[in-house]
Amino acid sequence: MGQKLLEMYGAAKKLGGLNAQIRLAVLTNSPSTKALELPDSPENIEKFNKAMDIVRKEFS
Amino acid sequence: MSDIKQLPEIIKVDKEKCVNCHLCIGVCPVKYCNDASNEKEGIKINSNLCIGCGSCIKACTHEARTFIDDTEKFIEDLKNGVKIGTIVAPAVDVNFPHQLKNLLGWFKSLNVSMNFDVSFGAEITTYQYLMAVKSGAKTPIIAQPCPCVVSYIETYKPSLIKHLAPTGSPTMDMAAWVHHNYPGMKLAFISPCIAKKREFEDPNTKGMVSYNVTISNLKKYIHDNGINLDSFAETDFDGPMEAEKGLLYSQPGGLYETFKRYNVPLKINQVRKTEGSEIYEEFFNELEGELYKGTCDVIVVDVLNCLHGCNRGTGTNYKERTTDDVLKLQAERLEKHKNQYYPNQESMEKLEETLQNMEDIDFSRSYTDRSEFSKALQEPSPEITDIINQEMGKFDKKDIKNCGACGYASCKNMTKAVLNSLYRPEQCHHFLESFFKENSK
Repeated sequence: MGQKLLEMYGAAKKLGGLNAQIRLAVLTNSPSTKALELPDSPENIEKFNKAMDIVRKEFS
Repeated sequence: MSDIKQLPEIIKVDKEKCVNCHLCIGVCPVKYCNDASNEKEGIKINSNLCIGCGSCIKACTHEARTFIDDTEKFIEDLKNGVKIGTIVAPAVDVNFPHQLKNLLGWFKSLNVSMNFDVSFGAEITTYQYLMAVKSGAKTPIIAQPCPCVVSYIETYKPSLIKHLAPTGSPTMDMAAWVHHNYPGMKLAFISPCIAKKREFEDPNTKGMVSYNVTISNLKKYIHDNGINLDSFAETDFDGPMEAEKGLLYSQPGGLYETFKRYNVPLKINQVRKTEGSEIYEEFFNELEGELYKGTCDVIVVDVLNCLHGCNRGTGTNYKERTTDDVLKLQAERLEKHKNQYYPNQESMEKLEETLQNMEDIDFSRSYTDRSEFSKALQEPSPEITDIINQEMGKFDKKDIKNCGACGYASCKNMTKAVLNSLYRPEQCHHFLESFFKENSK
């Protein structure tokens, strides 16, 4: 449950620290602590991927 | 990109000296003009959101923040033969005790064409306010000798713009008079205020003043160049005539003291005098609320950014003297002036006649709604606030400490800074404490 989503938080943090992690949480409306409770559904993964694209642009 | 003219930079940050202590944010009444997102760059300033109150310069113990004025350019242009007149703030007298006339003499020795007293500009301003009240201007009329107040209202309280006085500040009114009578002269304001540079560069003030020469930097120039003011001949102002109570404009309540002369039947609650940080934290919010509810009885608002008025303004050497010293000097000047220039009713009538005969001079002033800059900041919804708090390890009410160590005074305000990428959340006191506890287990 939510393993891939959690990994995206890890990737965001690696990219831009806590700020990037917060940005991902704000863009997805899901705090990282809740990521594990969410299913790794295609919809969720798509939503997180889109958000990650923005985070990558802003923090790279 | 907005069509609105960007506000000029008036506060510099030395990134080598800035230690990211956030004291500047702590004292800043508008907070989000500070960008603390990049440790190496120091805390940068967004001039369009900064109101120029100067609190951060006073608060910074690392000398990382300094102000920008035109003293150097003024001196350089005089040396190059540019025709410049000075308009001298009422606050200059108390900041150069018993040397004002020597100062004017020194200016003349530098080839300053003419010197004028902004205290007389204050007489013009007061008369213009009287005319505005009589002609049914929208009340309350918010007096605007203070450019920080103007910037604040234009940027953060646009609903109050229609209440800003429709005429110029004493400085601008004096400048209008000079340009009308002596066209072609560039003007330098001898100034107690760093934010006046913004007033002068505002298109609404028609470019009438070219230099903001702060008392502080002028004193530095005098000191660094070994100039002895006492060695210069005492020189009078060059007209139009001496001010009366306008001399008091630089102190809190000075406007009302001048206004009283006209015997306008105002009750004590109809003239609101207020100054210092209270104006941003309380006063304007309350005024806006009262106007919304229709319960506001105030006719004139006499409001200044600086707690002790312009006499101890941001462009003065604040610690050079106490407020009591200042008031004593001002009282002395007022008494001397009254005896010398306004001993009787006839002299008062001459002043009135002079003020009435200025109908062909344009003293009007307009304003710009600059609120697009503050509205561009994202406001966090309660849900987003919760998400940001949780990412920072704040899960319970007890974690919302509102300690203010970040400078934003509350965790909620801090989440707004985080949301707008103005703050590094790793600096949060609670976050650091939690991180330390977690990693020292």
